[in-house]
Amino acid sequence: MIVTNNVSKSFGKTKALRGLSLKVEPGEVLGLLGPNGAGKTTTIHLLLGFLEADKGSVTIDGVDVAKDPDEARRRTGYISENVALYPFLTARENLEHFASLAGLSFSDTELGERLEAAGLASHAINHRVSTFSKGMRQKVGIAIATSKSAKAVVLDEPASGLDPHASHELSTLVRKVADEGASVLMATHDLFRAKETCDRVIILQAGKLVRELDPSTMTANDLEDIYLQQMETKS
Amino acid sequence: MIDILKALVRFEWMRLSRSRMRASAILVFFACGLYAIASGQHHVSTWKETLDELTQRETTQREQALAWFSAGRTGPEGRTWIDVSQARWADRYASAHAVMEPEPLAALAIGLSDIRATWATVSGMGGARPFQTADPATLGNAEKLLAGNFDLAFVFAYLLPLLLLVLLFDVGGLERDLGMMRMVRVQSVSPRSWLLLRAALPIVLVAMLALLLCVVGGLWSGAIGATFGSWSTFTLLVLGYTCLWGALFAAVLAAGTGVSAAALWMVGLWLGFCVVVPAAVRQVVGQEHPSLYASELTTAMRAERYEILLGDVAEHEPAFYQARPNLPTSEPSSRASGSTRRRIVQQAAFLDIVGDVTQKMSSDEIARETAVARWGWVNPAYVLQRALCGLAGTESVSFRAHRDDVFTSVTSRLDALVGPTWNEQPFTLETFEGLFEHGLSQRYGLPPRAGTWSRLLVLLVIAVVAFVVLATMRGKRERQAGVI
Amino acid sequence: MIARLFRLELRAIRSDGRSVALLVIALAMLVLSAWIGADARRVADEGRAQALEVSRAQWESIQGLSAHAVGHYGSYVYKPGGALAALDGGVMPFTGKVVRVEAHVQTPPSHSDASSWSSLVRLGAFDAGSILAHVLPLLLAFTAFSSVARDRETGLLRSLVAQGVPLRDVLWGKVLAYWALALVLVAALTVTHVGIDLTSGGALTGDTIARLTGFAGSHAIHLLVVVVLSVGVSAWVADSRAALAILTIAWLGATVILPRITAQLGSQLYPLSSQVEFEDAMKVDRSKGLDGHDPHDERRLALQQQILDEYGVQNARELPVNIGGLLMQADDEYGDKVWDHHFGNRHATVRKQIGVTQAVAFLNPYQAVRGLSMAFAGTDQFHDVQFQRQAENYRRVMVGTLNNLDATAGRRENGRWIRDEIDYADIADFQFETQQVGFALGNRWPELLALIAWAVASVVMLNKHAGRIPVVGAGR
Repeated sequence: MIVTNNVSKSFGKTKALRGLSLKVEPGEVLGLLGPNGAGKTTTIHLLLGFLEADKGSVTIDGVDVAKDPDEARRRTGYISENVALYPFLTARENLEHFASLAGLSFSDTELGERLEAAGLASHAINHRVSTFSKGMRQKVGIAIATSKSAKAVVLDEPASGLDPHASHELSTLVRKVADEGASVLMATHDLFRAKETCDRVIILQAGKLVRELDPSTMTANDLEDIYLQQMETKS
Repeated sequence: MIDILKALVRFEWMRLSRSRMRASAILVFFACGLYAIASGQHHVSTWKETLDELTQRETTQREQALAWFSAGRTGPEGRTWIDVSQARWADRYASAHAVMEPEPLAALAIGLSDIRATWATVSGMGGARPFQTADPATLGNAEKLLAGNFDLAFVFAYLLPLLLLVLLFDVGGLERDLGMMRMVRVQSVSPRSWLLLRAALPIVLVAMLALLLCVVGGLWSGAIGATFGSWSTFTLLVLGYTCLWGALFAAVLAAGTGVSAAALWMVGLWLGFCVVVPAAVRQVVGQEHPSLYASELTTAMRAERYEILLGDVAEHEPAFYQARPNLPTSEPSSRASGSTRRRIVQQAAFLDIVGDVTQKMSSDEIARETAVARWGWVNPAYVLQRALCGLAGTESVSFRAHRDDVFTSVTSRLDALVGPTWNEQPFTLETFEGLFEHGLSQRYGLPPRAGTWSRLLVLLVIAVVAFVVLATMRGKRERQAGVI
Repeated sequence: MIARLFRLELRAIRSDGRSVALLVIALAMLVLSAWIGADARRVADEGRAQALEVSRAQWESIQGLSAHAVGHYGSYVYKPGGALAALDGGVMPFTGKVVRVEAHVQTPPSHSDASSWSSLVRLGAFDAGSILAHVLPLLLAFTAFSSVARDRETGLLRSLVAQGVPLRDVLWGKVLAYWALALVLVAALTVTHVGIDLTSGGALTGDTIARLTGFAGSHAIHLLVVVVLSVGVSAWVADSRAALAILTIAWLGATVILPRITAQLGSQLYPLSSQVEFEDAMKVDRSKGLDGHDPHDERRLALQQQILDEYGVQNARELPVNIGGLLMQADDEYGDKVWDHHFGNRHATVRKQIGVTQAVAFLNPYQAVRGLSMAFAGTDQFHDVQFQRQAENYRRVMVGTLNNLDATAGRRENGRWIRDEIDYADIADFQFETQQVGFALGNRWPELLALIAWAVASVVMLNKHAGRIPVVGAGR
């Protein structure tokens, strides 16, 4: 479970987060929406222990991130907007390396299966990733994140720059990860993808949670209207 | 931890073997090392050839003189004024040399052996031999000396840090530049251990390469068999130096910059420690302790010498007899004998002056080196080179010891001429042969002084402290700003 | 367009803290080296003047010695600093500064700095010539390595090209900006040197100006090559990291490894005989002259007879001159020929060794500028040899004068030669004739040619291929 409790964070005079409280249950995908500068990335960095909160607490699967960031990260998977990989390694070698850093060991067959499960074509598995498209790199990134069998998965704009097909595949994979029991938090600008993937959506604005929605009760257009209205209201 | 170590070893292996630049750098470094050993070996064999030529020269002259003795003569036919039974001619024909033998390690650290003279003629009556050896630099190609030598000491002092640089410059920086560092961190390895392990592996690889070159050099030059202790110290110094540069570069990596900034800092450190600091120290110390035109020596060799030669010999006799209380004080039986005695007394007085000047010049050199040593903690390339050359007997301290030995040989030779001259005993075959004992063949390798280790250690401690401080600062900065 | 891009690049450099820091460091090093060099020159000049004074005082106080004995007493010649030694010490630390000048024997120069220093002397010099040729190229490469690659990575290059800016103009704008900075550094050094020189009482002669122009000009051309290559690598190589690695390795090869290997190669291709062999060969040839100690030496007897015949007398006691002086002069002249032969061969071999370096200069512009820099500073091997020649000529004149005095300064009384009192102070000290800049160029034309060839080739290559550089990075 991912929990933030009344978390605030400032950078100098800029207040990035103001008393954010949220909870992501196991098996749930929470969409984090908001304009640039709303605090989405700050929230993710707090979840991953890259930042320390000024106030409030963050826990991952019951572990306080501030107190034991290493243990918290051990239970977290992460996929960034632009998955970067070692260009001189193949997809399999990248997965093997990152998994071994997390103390995990897989056979060659298992590595291949995990990459294929992440949507990577089998012929690409033993190719160096320097030739990979962004979508292919994202898939390797997903394989790395899911290989930890993490209790929490954090995604930062994972579909950015992906073509519609790859984007759809990503949604399917994210749902699969959640269905396996992980708490998933996905920051995104893509309202359609949020509607497709998330069980719940929250909108951040100027560091505050301003709206919480259930996307299953509305169409993508409705979600967009609500979002835009919210932005106009606050601006 | 062991699993992570294994994973990183595998990763580093792939990183090095799949990068043409890094693989080439390793090969080039190794090739440079082999070339340096071969080149040093060539230099030492030329050095030995010169010593063989000297032996040949000695033997020819010796055999010639011994043949005269065997034939009951005292000189060549038709040159009646030559009489090897007399001190003056015996001294001349008992041609001996004080020679600096190359240590086996000299092939790995040739030091100053292509600049300074490694031999001198020993003669009691022929003048001030410590300084009468030609300066090899002025008889050769000074532009070659300016370009510098290519021995293993150079490869270690200069090129080894550069190899480390090539292998280390993008550790961490690559992940930052490509935006992978967050993913690495999420894999829950401690950032400090990850960086230390990543940096340690190339350092270990370079240390192994250096060790391999030391072994090859040690076997090729014979140093492992002949002077194992010195070779071991040589190797330990090189490994210590590798660790020092590893620590310096690890400190740069700990700052957590991108690849370009890290490379700039590393090259800056290399340029500073290997190029700018040694040159600047030389310039600054040269100003404090200039080596000018050797006026004391030129004055001793000319004006003071002639003052003795033209002056009254009685002025110098008290000191001469005081130093040799057992000499008979009877009057010489012939004019020739008196003349030889006078000459010997004058020569002894002259050698006293030369001895004083030698001491003065040595103390000037030592003062200069002490001033240079003050900067040792920021001059690691020089500290290493000096220690390696010291072990190889090719550093200034070795040449000073050699010069002192030449002087001692010359004075011993003079003393050997005194007895027969004052006792008016002509040189026989046996006493003539005894004069060759003043020839000297010595090696001058010295273990490094305690200061060598402490100077390298000071910089190592600074590097380690810098690593810790920079890593802590980076951590704090990252936690505050969230930028990785 | 190029002017606009030139200004734009200068602004980019100015806004980059690292580049500014590197350039400030370079400027500080150059100014400091000029100041230290001038001070070192002052100390050396004072030392030389002091040594000369001591030596001269000893010479002028000679009393009661025959001209022959004075020939053995001898004199000392002290090597002066090169014209621009404060800017580039060249080979001076490795060459002897003092030459003992005496009858019958030629002594090579001794007491080089290197002979009294530790191995620190091998780790380079902090002089302007070294900094300009060795350090500054690395600093420039570090400033320029990302000039094009960075624009490509940020997409700026695409935008410029899309605006219709020719790639050639983009590259030349960058090259000129970096070269302008390099020229500012060279100019700052030159002005500092001239300023220090003039304020300390130095005179700016025509030759000094020509040498200074040659020195600054050769470094300026070399730095142009460095800048063109740096920008070129940045333009052609996929990313800035690779450009940095290539430039660093090239710098290392050009300035550290190749010069040493070349010098070793030269000495292996054209080996010099060892000092022992050399001395023994000289001794053998010298022994073919007159034997001053053997009254029955045939050559000596023949020459003696020739002199007697010339004067129309039967024996030496009837001569109006001292035959010893004439015989010694003849012997010295023979010795001079032996020296000319052996030292001539040796210098010829050294010249061949330097020829190898000059040939390699066509592959390595660093070696070209290093030779030119030393030559214009008057501190290269050729200037040193010139000093040795002049010292030897002085020795010959001095010994000739003394032999002549030995032969003629006296009178014959009852068959005995009575020597006059001679005032040896009339014999002047050694005066070094400074070589003009033409001498430097005469010996270093291959390097000059190599440097110009490098400049032309690099400019032409950049111009020719500028239009084909990748505008977008690989895999983007």
